[in-house]
Amino acid sequence: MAGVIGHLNSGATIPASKIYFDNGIPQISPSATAIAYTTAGFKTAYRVMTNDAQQGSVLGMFAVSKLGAKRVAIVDDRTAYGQGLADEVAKAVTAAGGTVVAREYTSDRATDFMAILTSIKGKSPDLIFFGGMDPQAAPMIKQMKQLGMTAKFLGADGTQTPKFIELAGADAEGALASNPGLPLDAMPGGAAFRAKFEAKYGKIQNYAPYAYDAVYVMVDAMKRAGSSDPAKYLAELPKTDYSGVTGHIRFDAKGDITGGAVTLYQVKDGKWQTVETVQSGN
Amino acid sequence: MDIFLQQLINGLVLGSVYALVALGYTMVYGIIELINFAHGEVTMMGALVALSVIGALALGMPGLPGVLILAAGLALAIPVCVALGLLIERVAYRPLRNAPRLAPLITAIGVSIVLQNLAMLIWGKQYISFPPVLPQGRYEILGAHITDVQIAILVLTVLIMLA
Repeated sequence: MAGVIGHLNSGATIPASKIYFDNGIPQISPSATAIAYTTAGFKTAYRVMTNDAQQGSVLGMFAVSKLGAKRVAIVDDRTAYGQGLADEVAKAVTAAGGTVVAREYTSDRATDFMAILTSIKGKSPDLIFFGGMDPQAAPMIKQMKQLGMTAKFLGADGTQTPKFIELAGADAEGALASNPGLPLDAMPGGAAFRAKFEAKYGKIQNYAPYAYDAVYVMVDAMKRAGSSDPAKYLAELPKTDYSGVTGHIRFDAKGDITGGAVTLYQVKDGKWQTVETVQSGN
Repeated sequence: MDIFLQQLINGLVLGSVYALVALGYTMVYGIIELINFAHGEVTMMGALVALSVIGALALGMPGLPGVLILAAGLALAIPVCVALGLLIERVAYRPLRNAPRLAPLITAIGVSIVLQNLAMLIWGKQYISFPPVLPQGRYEILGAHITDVQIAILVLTVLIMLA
């Protein structure tokens, strides 16, 4: 085996990355976002997708600079994902000149947030960030409305789902959330890629352009090394400088994409609509 | 002060819901001295049946007033729970009436597992939310907020406790 493009999510990508590292096989994930994937020190682990630290720092910056939130309350669900994001958001909020006025915790099973929301309300925040998934985010925004809270609601990719709008109903209106990466229309080669992909395989999949670029980043390294032998082309991967469908791809020392894009969405008229795409400063 | 009052309301509403469930537990325990582990699952079945009826009516007959839709949900959920209760008693508890006390406790846990999985087969494992059939009125007292639904929960619980 010369190399691996994968896997789909962090839960599968992280345990597999140790096996590839032990056997010297380069791996490029098109879609894993967990911070831990590239912090284990495995020189074989790369990704072309924005990681959660980059997403968190964009979210914190966006909340303060673009949404004008000076006082930010942060809630997370105590999962590795939710807490990891919340920590990054907290750092970025402070760095951008905002204040974290409350830091509350819940679980990924809870549905009643009245107690923590009441306590947050007392600190009069401009915005509440939630690091977690839609089954918690939806009742949370409903209960915010029940308590008469006017603070903005900001989530990440666990919240930016159709299910969130379905569960929260009319209360979802105005909610903001991010997703790593670019929407297809905003990618440099997006329109052409969609046309080619759909002609051959049918309806386009979310991560298809990223998987496509991941393959060509690997091929590009093999070409420069003049070999598909992992021992030879692995040394070429850090030097990647490739213009793909999703944008320009370069890696930092850990194997993360530099300047990974994060797109922000808002619920308007019952649908997620693109607000803007921000490049993370890494 | 408004935080204290709001937390008091939060606590009372949540406590009322727990009290209603606890009332069911003590009634069963008082009569047959068995902790009915399936009690929560019967309540869950009732909620899911009501949800299905209300969801179907809200979608199928959008003109129907919310109170009627809610009543229809209740009207079906109550007999379903009664029937379920009778069936559980017949199948899982009655054959063990004279058995050691641990035996019906174990069948109670068994029934609870069966009902949980049955609900997952019928309704799936996804989170579902109740369609808002009643207009949500919200009142403000000294800076604390309370909704119609919360008031209804409090009043109903007190009434049932007294009855």
